[in-house]
Amino acid sequence: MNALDVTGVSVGRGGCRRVDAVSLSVARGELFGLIGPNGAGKTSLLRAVAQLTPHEGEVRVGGAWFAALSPAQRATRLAYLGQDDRAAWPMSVADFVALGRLPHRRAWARGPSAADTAAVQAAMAAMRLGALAGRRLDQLSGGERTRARLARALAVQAPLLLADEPIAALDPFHQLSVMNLLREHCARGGSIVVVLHDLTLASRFCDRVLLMHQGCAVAAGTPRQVLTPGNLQRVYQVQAMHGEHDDQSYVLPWQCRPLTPSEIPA
Amino acid sequence: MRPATLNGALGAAVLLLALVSLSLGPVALDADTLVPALLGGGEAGDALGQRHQAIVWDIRLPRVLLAVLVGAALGMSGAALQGLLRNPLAEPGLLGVSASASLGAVVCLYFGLTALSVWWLPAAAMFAATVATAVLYLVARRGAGNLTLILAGIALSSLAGALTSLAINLAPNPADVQDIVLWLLGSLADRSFDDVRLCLPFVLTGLGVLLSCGRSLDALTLGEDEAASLGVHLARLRARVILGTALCVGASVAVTGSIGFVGLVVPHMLRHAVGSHPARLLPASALGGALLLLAADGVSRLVSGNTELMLGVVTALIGAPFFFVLVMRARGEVPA
Repeated sequence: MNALDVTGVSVGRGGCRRVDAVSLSVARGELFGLIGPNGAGKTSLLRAVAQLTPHEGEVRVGGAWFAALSPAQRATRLAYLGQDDRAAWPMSVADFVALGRLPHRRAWARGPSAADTAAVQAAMAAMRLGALAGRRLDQLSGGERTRARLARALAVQAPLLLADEPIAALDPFHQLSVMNLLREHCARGGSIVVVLHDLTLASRFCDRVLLMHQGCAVAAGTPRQVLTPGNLQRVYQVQAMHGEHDDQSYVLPWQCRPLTPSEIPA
Repeated sequence: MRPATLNGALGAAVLLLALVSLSLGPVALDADTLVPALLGGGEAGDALGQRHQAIVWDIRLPRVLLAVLVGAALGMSGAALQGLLRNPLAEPGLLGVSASASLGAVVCLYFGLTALSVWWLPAAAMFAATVATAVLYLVARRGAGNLTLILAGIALSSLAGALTSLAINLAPNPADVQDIVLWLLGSLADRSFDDVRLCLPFVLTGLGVLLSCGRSLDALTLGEDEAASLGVHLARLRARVILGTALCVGASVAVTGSIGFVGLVVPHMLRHAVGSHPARLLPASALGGALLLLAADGVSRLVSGNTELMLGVVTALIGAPFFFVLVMRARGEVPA
């Protein structure tokens, strides 16, 4: 059974559809990349999948029709990490990660259960946050804060994680380390849909990617199948270098190449 | 500090200050006279004991109970609104609930309805608070964000303020103007158990509603999308916080007039001690609000000479400079 099946999902009405009849499926243990230029509809698609915005089409998570579940049931099956990375209050990292356990807590529970504590510790260990547990959130660096936010999402222990551009503002070391940590999570059986802007990292780390352009799915498949010179030219208007290293293919966007009038499809 | 320890300490301080407050006044009571007076153990023939009992039960106890109730209501409302709006500068006054409740009271004073029945004024204050809440709820229900809610509150607040000024402007005689202005200053003086009975059910219901929002407010720390993904129903949460605030603030303004800054300053003072948890801040702010209002009332009674210092003036004088310092200090820490 797939971790996620999306069939014909559209967001927005009439002529200004931000997402237009997109379908995709994500297998268990898969790291799935959602790529496309700014305004392609990646975030809207992610929010539609998480039932955070009105949409048409069908979303199934772990085989269950997601819209039919109650918010509480949905909360334990799908964890969502948005782009807004500022927490309102400067709580400690351990307290912040524990917020991910709220869907599992009873309404008037006195404190965390043993399962809650174990989940928080596992999530912090997975994101290498052990040494930072007592630090305040506003005293962390950008990379540390991203790891704390991911740990918060992992603490939900949902089978599926949606993450919207988690590494966009990080330096290369933290970008690579966070992508490695995501891969580790998938190796443990988790499924992740991640929005990425960095095509090199997408080609290096994702099992499969979906390329979006103006709300539509342009191509889906392995990074090698999707990130072809033709697709990059058409969607991103860039030329890229394609290479191989350690039996992995990568792409490196190299220069702008705007479409000429004759190349723009009618 | 553990939440239970903090709440215990605050609770003990409230109790202690309440006892001190009961003993303070033109007739000073020490422990030997206060305890029998409080327990109603004065002997039948003991005229002095009966006088002490009357002072404690008819004058000071309603005042102390109101300070605790209203302080708790304002403190927790402030904490809940700050949690909902994810903004440390939010307070009941911000959403126009206080101003609207005051307007209701002022309209009553303007038309002289208080002469018909003492119940008119509280009823009008709570009615106005409810109308303000309903307007805010209609705004919140249509999926508007927090910014819209804050702006709606400011608009409501300005309108209520303008209408209040209009009432003062058009008041036919100076006595009415003085009534209105004194009401706006806020006070606990000359309150009876009737006032306690009037606000108690509303304040307790409001506090209960707000307390039930704790978990959802915790989740809201992560932002609206992520809170919703954790199972929080945002529209319902907004409605609950607004309802709880209207009950608390409407009932408070009804019996004490307008008392500012409690809902703003108390959560600020306690936020660090509770580890910035919105849920833990709720009960702590209720106790802290009770403590602050008891202290402010004590100050207003101690300082007063011939003219009673109004409680709203005292809280503003304590609160405003304190808040200014907090804002200056928090500038670098709290995101705008």
